[in-house]
Amino acid sequence: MRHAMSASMLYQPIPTDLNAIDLAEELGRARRIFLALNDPEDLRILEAYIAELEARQMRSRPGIAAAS
Amino acid sequence: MANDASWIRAEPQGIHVVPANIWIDPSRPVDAALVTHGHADHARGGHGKTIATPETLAIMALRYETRDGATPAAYGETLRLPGGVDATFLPAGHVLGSAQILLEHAGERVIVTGDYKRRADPTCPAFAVTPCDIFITEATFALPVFRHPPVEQEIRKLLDAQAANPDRCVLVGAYALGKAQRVIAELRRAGYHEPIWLHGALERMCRLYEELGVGLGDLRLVADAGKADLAGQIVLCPPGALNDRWSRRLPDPITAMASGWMRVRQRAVQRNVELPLVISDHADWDELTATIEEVNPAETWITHGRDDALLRWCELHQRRGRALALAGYEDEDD
Repeated sequence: MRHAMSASMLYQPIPTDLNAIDLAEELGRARRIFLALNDPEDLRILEAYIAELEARQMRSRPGIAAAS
Repeated sequence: MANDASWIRAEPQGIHVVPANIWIDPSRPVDAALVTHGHADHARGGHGKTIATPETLAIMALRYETRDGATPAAYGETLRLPGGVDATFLPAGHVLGSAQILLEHAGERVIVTGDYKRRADPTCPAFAVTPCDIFITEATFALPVFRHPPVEQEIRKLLDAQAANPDRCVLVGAYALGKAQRVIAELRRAGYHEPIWLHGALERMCRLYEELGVGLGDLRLVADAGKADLAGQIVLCPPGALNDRWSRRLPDPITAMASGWMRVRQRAVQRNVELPLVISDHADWDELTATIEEVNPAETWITHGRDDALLRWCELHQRRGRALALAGYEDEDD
């Protein structure tokens, strides 16, 4: 839960209709961009977004969803 | 075509069009300037000659109380500058009068976008996609996290808050040029035709918009109202007035702010914003990247904003990019 605190940085949750493939692609895109950032605030903001995406991905996995 | 564009140079004080010895949005007074739009970080007073759209010149005249050296350029009109440079102003969709500037010289086409967005805005014409060799773009919201929601959704949040709180007013912080008028126009488009109340600092710009043909409906000044008159009403003020003594005259205001930065909770908390409205006059991540793909330039230069991210996107898409890191462009209130 590396990002647990930072996820609350953002309003406007990501769209609920993103399917698993879109979610994985978006996560990959965000991570690739993240590697290029230098500005501390930009890093924090994008880290929070990646945390949102990761949390969504976790929730969308059947085993995790059933257990929660 | 090689795109060294030695005739266009990024200098600390702005973009220099060398053969014409003219500057774009310079941060210091110069002999001759091309100005993309009226926001204070792009349009400064004191130039010998200022070339801009008639609307931008009117905005500058209001702010700087002078029209000295003003040279209007209508959208689509091509001006011949010294040194064999042609300049054409094209709509940028940012605020009233905002323009991209197409520069043509020695067979090469360069576009300087200034600030822009791709979404429909009832207060200004839409961004015109125009092919070029070098595309010099802003990057204010160039992070994948910035996907601005539909403006209708944010206006609905505002109207719902107003309807649910008849004893309070909704106080919306909005940048005085562009954002305030867009919020008003979007409220009208959503069917809200009640009076909208203004902080005095917004009045002159709203009146100018109306003089320039943008209808904003029934606008009234907070200074002319009693506290009870403002219960259940929508009030607009500059962001700086959201938490100052002025707002104490309002009936238990719900503090809102219209800005792309409202996606970031910390920005909302800093201003004690209870109702963040993600409404921006800048292109979001999808708009920035889609625009580069549509314009399809040989090279993309990035003036200001989150340039690391957009530059990385260019690399990942096998596009040549360059960060200019121009100083002096602010994005705090959008």
